[in-house]
Amino acid sequence: MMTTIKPSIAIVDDDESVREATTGLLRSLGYIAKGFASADEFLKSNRLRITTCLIADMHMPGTSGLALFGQLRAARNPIPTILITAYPDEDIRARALSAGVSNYLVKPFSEKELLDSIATATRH
Amino acid sequence: MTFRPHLPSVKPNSLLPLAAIALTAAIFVADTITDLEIAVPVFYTAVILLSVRFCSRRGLVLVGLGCIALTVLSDFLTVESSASNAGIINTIISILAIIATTALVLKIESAERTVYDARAQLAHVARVTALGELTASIAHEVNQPIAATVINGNASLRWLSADPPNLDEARLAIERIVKDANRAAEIVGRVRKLAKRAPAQKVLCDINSIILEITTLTAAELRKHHIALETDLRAGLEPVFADPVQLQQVMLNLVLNAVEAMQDTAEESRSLYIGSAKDGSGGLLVTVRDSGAGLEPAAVARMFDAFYTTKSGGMGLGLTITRSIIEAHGGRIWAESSNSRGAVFRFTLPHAAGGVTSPETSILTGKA
Repeated sequence: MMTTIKPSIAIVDDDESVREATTGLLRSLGYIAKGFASADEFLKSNRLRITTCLIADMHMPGTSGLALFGQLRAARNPIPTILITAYPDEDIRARALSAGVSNYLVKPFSEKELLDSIATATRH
Repeated sequence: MTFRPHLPSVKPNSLLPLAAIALTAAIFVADTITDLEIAVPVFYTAVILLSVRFCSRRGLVLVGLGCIALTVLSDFLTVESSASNAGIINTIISILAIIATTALVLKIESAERTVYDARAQLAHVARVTALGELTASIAHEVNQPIAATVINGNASLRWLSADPPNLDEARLAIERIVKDANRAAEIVGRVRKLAKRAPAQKVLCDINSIILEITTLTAAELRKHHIALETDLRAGLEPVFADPVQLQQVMLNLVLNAVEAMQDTAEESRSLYIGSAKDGSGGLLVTVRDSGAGLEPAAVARMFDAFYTTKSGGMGLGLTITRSIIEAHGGRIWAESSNSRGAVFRFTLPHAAGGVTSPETSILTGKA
């Protein structure tokens, strides 16, 4: 059964290919999805208030995905966040999950992994 | 100690063959008009030494045989045909001198070629070692378009199986797949070109495209180390006559050197600047500046020496090879401490208009 309001998802990744692909896939699934090339671009956008789930790359020039999550939490706007990375690192994973990040996905991830993570992140 | 992983540079001179012919004629005339007891043909050895500069191995053998033939011919033509013993002995000595000179020159050439091959092999090993340092980030660079392809494939399936199918969106997703597959192939191609063991080959190259090849190849490595890259590449620079793979090796060494130098620098202040410009004498000047700890005065003097290294795992050959490549291209490289912070490496290259040799015509190129 489809819910009436689909979550609005923001994808923050400096890699254009991954950003556009992820945005496209989520739109094909009926989500409202918008991509941002950097944490700054996202923070300055008008999407900040309406985003219900954030997918952010761990390694970006400037602010990393984890740092972005930290900033949002400090600003009392803890958007449920899924971190994605091409450099899997156990320490960072543990640190991210204990900081309250919803999931930590390693690229290339499957469609199912992504959808399950979004479902978990937006359940609350 | 220097390593020269390159072709020894032979200055081209179209006058050399003419000079050799003139010299041959003069010796022939002198030999013919003087009597047999004067060993003029010994001077043919000068012709052989001159021919090394523009002849192939086979050409050199032919020159030697020609000189012997002319020596014998002069003997028949010599007006005063007093076939004394001394005359015959002198002719034999001359012929032996010609044979010995030709043989020695060929032997030296083959020794030089062995040295050249060994140097090229060393440069290749150094290049592959440098690429090895990049393995993780190159894997990442290839992984990104693959990840995107998987996602785009899923998306296009979704668009196609929607009711009604959204063909426009599916087409967009498939176009992205094609783009990403090409991107992955380009990365593999770039690595393969650098890893390949190919003979040095000088062609006209644009220094800015060489710099861009390397900044693209190392983009993920720089990102991984949180290094901000700033480039200032001047448009419309004169092309250089160079081996593009060797120049890429120079740029790769300098970039990896900078990455290493900034390991202990705070992440937010790591930056790498690469600039290209005209230098005062009409050639090119390339600048690579990092924001690392800078250089000790003692290191500035020694860093291009072989086996000088401050790295725990380094062999100390990277900068030595870098310098020998630059010098082989007629340029100069030096290091200095930056005024503010970090180290600056600069090198110059002459532009292509200054003397172009055609490698096929010289036995020193190892291509005869």
